[in-house]
Amino acid sequence: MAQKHRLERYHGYLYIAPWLIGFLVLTLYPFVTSLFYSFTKYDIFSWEFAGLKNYVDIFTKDKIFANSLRRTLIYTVIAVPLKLAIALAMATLLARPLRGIGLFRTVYYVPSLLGSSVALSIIWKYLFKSDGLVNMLLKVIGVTGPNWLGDYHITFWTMVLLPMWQMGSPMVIFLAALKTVPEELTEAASIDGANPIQRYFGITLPMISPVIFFNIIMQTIEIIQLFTPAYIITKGGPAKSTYLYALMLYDTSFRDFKMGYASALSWVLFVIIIAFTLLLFRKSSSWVYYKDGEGL
Amino acid sequence: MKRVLILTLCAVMLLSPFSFAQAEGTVTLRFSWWGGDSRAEATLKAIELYETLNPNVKIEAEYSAFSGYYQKLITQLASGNAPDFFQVDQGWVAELNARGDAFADLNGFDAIDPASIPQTMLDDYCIKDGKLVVLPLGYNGTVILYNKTLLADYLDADGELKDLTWERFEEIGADLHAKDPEAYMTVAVTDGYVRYFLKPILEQITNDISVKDDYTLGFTVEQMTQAFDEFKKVFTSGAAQPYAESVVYDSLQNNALWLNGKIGAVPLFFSNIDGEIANLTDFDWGVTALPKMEGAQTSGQEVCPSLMVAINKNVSETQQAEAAKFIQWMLNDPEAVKLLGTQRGVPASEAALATLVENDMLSDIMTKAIEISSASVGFKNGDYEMDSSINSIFVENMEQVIYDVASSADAAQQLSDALAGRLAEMKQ
Repeated sequence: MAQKHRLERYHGYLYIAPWLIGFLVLTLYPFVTSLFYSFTKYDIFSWEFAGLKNYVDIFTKDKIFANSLRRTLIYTVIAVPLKLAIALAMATLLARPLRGIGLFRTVYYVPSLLGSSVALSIIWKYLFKSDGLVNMLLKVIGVTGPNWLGDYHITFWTMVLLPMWQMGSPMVIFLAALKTVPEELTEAASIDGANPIQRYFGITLPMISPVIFFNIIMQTIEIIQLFTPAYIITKGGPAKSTYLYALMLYDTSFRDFKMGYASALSWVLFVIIIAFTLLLFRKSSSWVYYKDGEGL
Repeated sequence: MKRVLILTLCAVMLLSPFSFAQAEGTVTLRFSWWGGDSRAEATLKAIELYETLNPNVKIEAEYSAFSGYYQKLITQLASGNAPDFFQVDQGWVAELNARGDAFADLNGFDAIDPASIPQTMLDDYCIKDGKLVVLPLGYNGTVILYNKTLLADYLDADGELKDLTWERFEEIGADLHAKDPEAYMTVAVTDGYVRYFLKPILEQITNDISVKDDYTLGFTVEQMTQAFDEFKKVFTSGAAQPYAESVVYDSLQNNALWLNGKIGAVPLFFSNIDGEIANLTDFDWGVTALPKMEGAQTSGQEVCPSLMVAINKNVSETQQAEAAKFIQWMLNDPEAVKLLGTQRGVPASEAALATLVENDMLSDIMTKAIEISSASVGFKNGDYEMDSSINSIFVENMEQVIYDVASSADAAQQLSDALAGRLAEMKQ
């Protein structure tokens, strides 16, 4: 009997083994080894210890790093608030008890199921090329559309628009949060004469501020590492205008085979993401409201 | 019961490798290549025929698109899991030979007889450090394919477009576009502008290759500035479809202007000619050499092995020997040649080429392109010229010139500095 119990204890581990093995082999192991390789000159065939040289070179010699980081930060700072604003607006609309609202919620969520996929990027490429569907539709209403993916000054902004379409995940989280806002609060405000806009900004938003904060963190982490659209749609062009950090990382490792240097680049990105997150946490106490009165 | 289940699972896992045990004497080879469906189809047919003729050999095909192939191959080589023989690009040979230590010396195999391959091709591209490390399956060359129907007003008395200069090329382009605003003289995909326009112009100016095998540059900043200035005229004259329009197309077959016969002439490798015009039967087509600058001593045209094959030196001698037999068969055997056709370019083997000619398997236009290409005076590609990191530096700076982000002089300086830096890294 005791032996049976002992065996059953291991069942749980057996069930989570696929995830656990995947995590250990595909996430934790590369994570740790990349730190080691970041202090080496490693070209996939051989390595030698290089000390801090990779890190020094990144900050003192690498012009591509500076340009790529600058563009990625601009991209993140614009795309994250824009995406969350749209997601929140959509969640607010979809929170209303209307007939068939379930269908609309599903429809707006579906693009997020596709993730940052290759297929989706290819669709965007065809939609936004100069003779693509977007410009054809604009032509119908008498507007000559720009060259969304070829114009040096426009392509970056077209790429900023891309994550907007996939606002389904934060939208669903916002939707769930909106449902938790106590009706008695909005009713009380209403009796006191607050109009809908005042109720929304004075009660609803503060009540869901922890969820807004959560979405900001998650989206920042996701968008700062955006790779697929830049790789598939523009290859970082034209003239490096959409050469985002993750694409530079990929080229450094799998085109130039500077694996040690690329490892250092990835650790620099990791530190930047951590710094962003800590900054957001530090600033959160001034605007995030927790019911129990204690922040994180 | 559960113990029985667990024991059974363990037994299955332990014994599973033996379930793939082969019949005694059978050799299984892994062969990897990149390419489209038609190449895969032809190669699989050839493999099937070979397996019928040699029942002791089984060849496992590992084929994929070009994109990602090199990355996969490098990873396989580094981890000791590379195929027994594999297709390589000319631009990778020097690097893989220097760092990967992956190539068996093909001279060491009785089965391989490279006599049918022109010696200059072997010397220029296949022999490294005295070893025959690769064999070319096909060769290719750059030419201009032009639409005689669209360019009817500009052809000579013979109905040809011959002895083009860049000036004439741009004049025709400007005139053509003025008459028909939808039409342009030329277009290329992104990398194509480097390979078919910028580098030939640079070579015509310097009379040298751009990146030499000793990791130095074959041009000065002033020469590169001149090359950028000349190159830019292709766009400013109106000859080329605006870059901002064409940059989204990664193939001519996706460009509506090409498909509608509104592009006058495109530079390309001659083995692609038949494919590019297969669906454009309403037009007459001709081929000519790349335009030249006045007084240029070289054409800047490439004539090089298109696809090469190497044997993995880190597999057993039996595997290597059987791979060598198959490669030799694929290179020269008439039945194999007929099955493979021009799927890997025009066969590099003279015997194989003769087989194709005898069987009328080369189109007239391709035959003419081969003649033009062979008659051109050009240089061999440098060992590192086709390296993708080197190429990306050219593309980046070329785009800066096209988009007016940098002047020709500034871009030339940036290009030289970036190339020098990258070459120094590669030399280490």
